[in-house]
Amino acid sequence: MIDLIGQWLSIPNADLRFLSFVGITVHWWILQFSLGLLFITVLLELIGRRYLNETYLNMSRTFSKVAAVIFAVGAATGTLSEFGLILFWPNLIAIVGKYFFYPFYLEVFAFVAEVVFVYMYVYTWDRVSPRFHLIIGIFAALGAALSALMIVSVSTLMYLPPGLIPGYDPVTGIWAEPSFRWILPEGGSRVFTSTEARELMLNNPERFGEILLATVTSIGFLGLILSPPVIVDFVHALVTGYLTTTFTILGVYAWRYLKAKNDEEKAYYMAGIKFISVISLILITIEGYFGHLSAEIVAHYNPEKYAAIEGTTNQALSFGRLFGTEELIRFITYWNFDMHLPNWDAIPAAWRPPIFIHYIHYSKTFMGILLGIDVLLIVLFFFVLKRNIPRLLLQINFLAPFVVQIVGTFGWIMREVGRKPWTVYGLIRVEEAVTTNVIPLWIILGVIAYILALGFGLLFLVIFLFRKKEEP
Amino acid sequence: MADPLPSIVILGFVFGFHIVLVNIDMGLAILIPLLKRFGETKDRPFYVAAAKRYMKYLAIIYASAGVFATAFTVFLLSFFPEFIRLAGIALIVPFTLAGIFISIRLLAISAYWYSWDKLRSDYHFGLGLVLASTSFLVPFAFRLIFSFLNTPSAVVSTDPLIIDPGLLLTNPTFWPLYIKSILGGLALTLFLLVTVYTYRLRRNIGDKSENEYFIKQYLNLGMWPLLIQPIFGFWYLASLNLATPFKFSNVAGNWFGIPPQATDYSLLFAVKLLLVFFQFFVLLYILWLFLNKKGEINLEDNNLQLILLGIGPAALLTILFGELLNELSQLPYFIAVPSLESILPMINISTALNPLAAAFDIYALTFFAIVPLLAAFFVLLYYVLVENGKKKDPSEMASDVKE
Repeated sequence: MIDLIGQWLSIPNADLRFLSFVGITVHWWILQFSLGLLFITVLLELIGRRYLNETYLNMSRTFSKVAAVIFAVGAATGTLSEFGLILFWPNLIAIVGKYFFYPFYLEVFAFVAEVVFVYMYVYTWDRVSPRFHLIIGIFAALGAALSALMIVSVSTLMYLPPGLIPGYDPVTGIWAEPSFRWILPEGGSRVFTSTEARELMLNNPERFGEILLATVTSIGFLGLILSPPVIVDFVHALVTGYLTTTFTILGVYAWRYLKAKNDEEKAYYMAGIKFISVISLILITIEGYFGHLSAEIVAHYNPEKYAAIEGTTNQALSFGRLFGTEELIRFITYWNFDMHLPNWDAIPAAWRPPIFIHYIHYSKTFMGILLGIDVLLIVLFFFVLKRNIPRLLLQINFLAPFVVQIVGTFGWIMREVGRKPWTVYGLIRVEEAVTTNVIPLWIILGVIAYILALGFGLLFLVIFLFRKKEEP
Repeated sequence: MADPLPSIVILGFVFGFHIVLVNIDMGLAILIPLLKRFGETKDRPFYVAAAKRYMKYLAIIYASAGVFATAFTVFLLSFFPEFIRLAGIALIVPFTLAGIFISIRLLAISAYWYSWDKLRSDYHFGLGLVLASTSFLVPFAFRLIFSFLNTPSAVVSTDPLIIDPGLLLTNPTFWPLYIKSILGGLALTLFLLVTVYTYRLRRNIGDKSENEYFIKQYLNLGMWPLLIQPIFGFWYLASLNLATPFKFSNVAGNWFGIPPQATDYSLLFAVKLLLVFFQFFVLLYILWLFLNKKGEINLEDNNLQLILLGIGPAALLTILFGELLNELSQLPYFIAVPSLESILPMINISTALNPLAAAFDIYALTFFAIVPLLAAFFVLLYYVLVENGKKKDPSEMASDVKE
């Protein structure tokens, strides 16, 4: 049997990888609210104005203030994450800056738009016409979404570098080394296997740079930003942010409802639960669909990762084998029973991702289904049975803000750890991206402890902010 | 080879915004806890109310400064990725310190804001002191980096570039640059507030006596950092002359008989000095009024109001031009020691420029994207600083509802 932790630790620089995971995860915890709150706030304002619903307008106003605070927190954690990437992975960041330049560069404008319109939205409540105020809100939400699109685009380029030709053939089930079709500066193109591309990068970096530049230039601005999987990955990440926000509100409002001192407060929080549960149900359906599309993309472009996700190995417990769902997975991956899932055991050792992401994947999916059932039950009680929600169901929802964060975090673990031992798939391995500085372990552990304390402190601050009801 | 000038213009532009915002952020974080504390101990509730209002400004300025910092880093990385690789490896200690201090500041702002009226005054003031201390800590880390870029005095090895972090403190340009920055931030914040209150006085916004009171107080307070700052300014200039004659020659031009080794920025230096003189002139004018009118200064006087309206922008431009002068005068090198180029070619902006970024469409896109965003940013500032507290008549807006 595979030593799951040992396998992950055997990939170089485990300490710095873990530090980066903690730092970026803390940023992710916070920034999801920047995405989701603006969306929910604008939606509430739109409905509140349309139907003259004071409760929705009150919620919208409260959430807009929370969004302003969270944006400031997210901006700071974003700067820290950026520092972390530059300091610990300078070689990676230099490659990103050089060749994945376009989305990285454009993200700045989305970010500036976000800060301007978020604060304008907060500071212009009751000071401009409602229609103009809504437009400002839409711009703020779009700024946040655009920012996410650009970051997802950079992240996608790390698992799908320009010119990638997948090596695995699902018809035969034979694994081959992936390759790259690159444009040559002198004209024409050439296919480089991963080994050839790496040899070029390590032994003749100037020529490598010229070729990659020519390739990126030929792909062009939009081609690089909107590489095939970007839209799917983007919607998947965006909806995750929205869901994290809605389930956090749901949990906090359930708690506040049960603690409410009078009927007015109860009505306020119940109206919120009603609205948020409907939105959550719609969003979680979209999330499930895009999650599936995302899996198809991974199966096509990163078959090793997909093999690890589905646990296609005899060396560890596989849920697919345990539940007898391997055939079904094969079918819904390729929509064809004759195709073969990539076999993790058949992948050369140097290309194998850690198998523990199989368990991360199934835990994530299981918790996601639980969240779906949760909102489905709430909606059923409201709209079909037309009854009050049972107290127990509301109490269960106290856990929703934490469960949804775990689901989102597990999603990113799958995405990032599943690419290992590569930092940029097929091109740059972890040990080539890392700094040449030797950092003592006690410093790394100290920074990890500090970031975790900071992250939990900020997360509780965010949850605390949600519970407040705006005084009219 | 591509011309690096447009990339430098973009970087200078974003950096200019960032640096002005962080200076105000720094000054406000020192002022707010002190103002609130004095308001409570001397029973002046309007101090506390003002401090609370400034907290809102601080939140927005902190977030905006963070955004422009990220923008600057991303632009720098996009234009000069190899230099960032070098800086990431060599300056790991000061950058890590900066990260830790920025996060402490974030926590301090959040904790101070959300415990307002919820903690005992003494404890809240304690939190305020933590907040104020970060105004000294964040620039401490960044000035270590900037002084290293003036002269890399802590270098232990050049291939690969390794520095001894302890030696960064012995950099001859560090201390004058650091102290000057703190003083500049304080003067800028206080004089900007003088301008804001003068504007409110002229437009009859808020309480008249309160506006007048704060104008006088902030002029009194702002005078001290302005008076002390030149000492450190001259010290910094002298240290540049000793440690990095290349940069000094570009700053001073031909003033001391040494021709500039790259580009003559003495005009920018002269403009900066004129702006400082203007601030001194305002203080002298007020002193003259004070002596002539037997201690009575009439803030209703139109001429005085116009002059006071100018002191904030003058302080702002002083910081802006000073910082731009400091960064531009070492170009074309990121580290102002030309001899290092043979070992570290990425310190020269011409050779380090990313070919993908050096394209006309990128510059055009930057221009067309940034102009409307900045216009919107100024509209936002207008709403925060001027329209704050004014509410639109609900009946005026009702017509727009449910259309």
